[in-house]
Amino acid sequence: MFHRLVALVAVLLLWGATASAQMLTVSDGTRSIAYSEEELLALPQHRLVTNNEYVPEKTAFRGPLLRHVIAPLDPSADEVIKATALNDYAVEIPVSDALDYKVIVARYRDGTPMRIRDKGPLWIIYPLDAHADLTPADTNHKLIWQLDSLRIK
Amino acid sequence: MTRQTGFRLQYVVATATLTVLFGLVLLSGRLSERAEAIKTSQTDRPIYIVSELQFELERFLKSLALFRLGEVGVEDVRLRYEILYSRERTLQQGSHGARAFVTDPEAPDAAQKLHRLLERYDPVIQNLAPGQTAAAQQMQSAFGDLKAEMRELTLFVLDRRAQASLEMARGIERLQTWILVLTVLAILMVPAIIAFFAVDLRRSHELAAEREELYEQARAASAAKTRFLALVGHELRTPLTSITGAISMLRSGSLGNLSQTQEKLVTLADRNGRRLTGLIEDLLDLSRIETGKIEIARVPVDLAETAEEAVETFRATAGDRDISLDLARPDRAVTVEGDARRLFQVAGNLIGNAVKHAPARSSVRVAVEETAEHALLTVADDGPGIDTAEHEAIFSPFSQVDMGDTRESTGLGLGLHIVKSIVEAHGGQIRVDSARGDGARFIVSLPRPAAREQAA
Repeated sequence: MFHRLVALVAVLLLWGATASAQMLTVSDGTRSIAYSEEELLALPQHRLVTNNEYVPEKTAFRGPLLRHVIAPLDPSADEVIKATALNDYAVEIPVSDALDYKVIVARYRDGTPMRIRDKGPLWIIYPLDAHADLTPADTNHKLIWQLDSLRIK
Repeated sequence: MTRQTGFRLQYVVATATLTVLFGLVLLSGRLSERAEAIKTSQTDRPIYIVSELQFELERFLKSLALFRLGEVGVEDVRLRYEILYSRERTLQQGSHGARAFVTDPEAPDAAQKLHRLLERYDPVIQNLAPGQTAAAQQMQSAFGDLKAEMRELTLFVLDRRAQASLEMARGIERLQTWILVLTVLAILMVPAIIAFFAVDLRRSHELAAEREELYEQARAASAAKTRFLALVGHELRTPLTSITGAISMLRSGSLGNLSQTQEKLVTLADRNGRRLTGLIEDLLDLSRIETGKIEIARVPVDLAETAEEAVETFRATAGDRDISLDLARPDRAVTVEGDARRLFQVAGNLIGNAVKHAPARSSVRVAVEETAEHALLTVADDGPGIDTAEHEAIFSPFSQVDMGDTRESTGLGLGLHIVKSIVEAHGGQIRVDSARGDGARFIVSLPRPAAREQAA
């Protein structure tokens, strides 16, 4: 009985430790990857200065490219990514977007890590200013903030 | 339908068409503006942002309630608080247009109140520990008081949006009315345009018919003149033949010797009889040309030989006035294909003219040459020359160009017209190279047989 309790506590502690460290879950039907903040920042970082409806002026964002984040699951261009936020808001992003444009999973805004109240910890940012074909009407809803998980399907 | 009304109708139709076109361009511009406004989701964004804020406020309050019951931990309260905070910031920042509603003086100031509460309770949330139900209750009460006002804010934004939508719908309705008006106008204009073109078409048909009639009359008049010429020519020639025949017999002496005076008179009559015969031949040639009945044989003719014969014919006449008549020709034959008698007529006419206009003791130069494609006959004199402005006129029938000399005109002015017609019937060309006081040079160019075949 006591052993069981210790084991349960240990499992809970371990789960808690890993849970607090993980920032983004990426999965498809079979596999799942949990990125910690360190792992996300270890990927090649991309800086993107752009405008969107939710910032008052051109803003510098920094983070890994979405295509690098999903690369370990080797998705094909005709699949879509279901992106879910902390408040359960969800949106579908075509994998082709990640391949065609330098979409980033931003962690930093103007050099500072984003808190949840700043739409952090992660915010999907499209290079809207660099591509005329990325119209606000078609792209705004895909700029999902407080990103929590990506599921490829 | 007079020309005047036709013109006025044209003016009205053009103005109406332009007006309708202008109206359509204007309307399409307004339509695309509307479409652009609908396309930019900016219009819906504020509603979405305000309702999200209200929703996250409810979730935060629920989390506080569950925390007091011990069903969720501090982490959940903090997460809901942070998300609520982020929604409040979204409302205040960005270019989505929601802020305009918040700062509207008529809007409930729920957003400002929420902002102050979030700042005041931030330290409490950061230091919240499990079991601090009193702090949770305090926040629940403070934030809970905002629920009603937040709902009012949402309704306010919805109301404003509804008004804007209504405004837009009315605008589209107005555009629809205008489109209807212009469409009706355009439909009404179709018969007007058709009528206009029908009138225009009828008018041009009428004009064409008038022209055709005038042309027909002119042709008939010309044909009558030509018939008259032919008739007169033939009627004159028949008695003249008897006269010249009789004179010839007198001159030959077969009817007895003539006294000196008689011989002089007979010679005079003979010369004038020949001249009259020449004039009548010219008139008959003109009538043949005009009826297209001029007949050209197609046999090889030596143009050099023809020119030489013509030169010999005029040698005596030229000699009378001490004019030297020179011929330059190649040793071999210069063959063209045509009518020997007619070509002799051409050479004779040109040489005769030159001798007639050349001053005494001058020279008339006749030359026959050949180039790769043409045989050329040139007749040059040192006479008074011809003004450049007259170069075309001298080839017209009955032209009497003032030659600047005092000699009276001795012809009908048909010679060069006949020459030109004969040359052209041979497929050739004639031109004059002359200026007043500078002599004249006529150049006839005829295609050589080989060149003709190649060209054909």
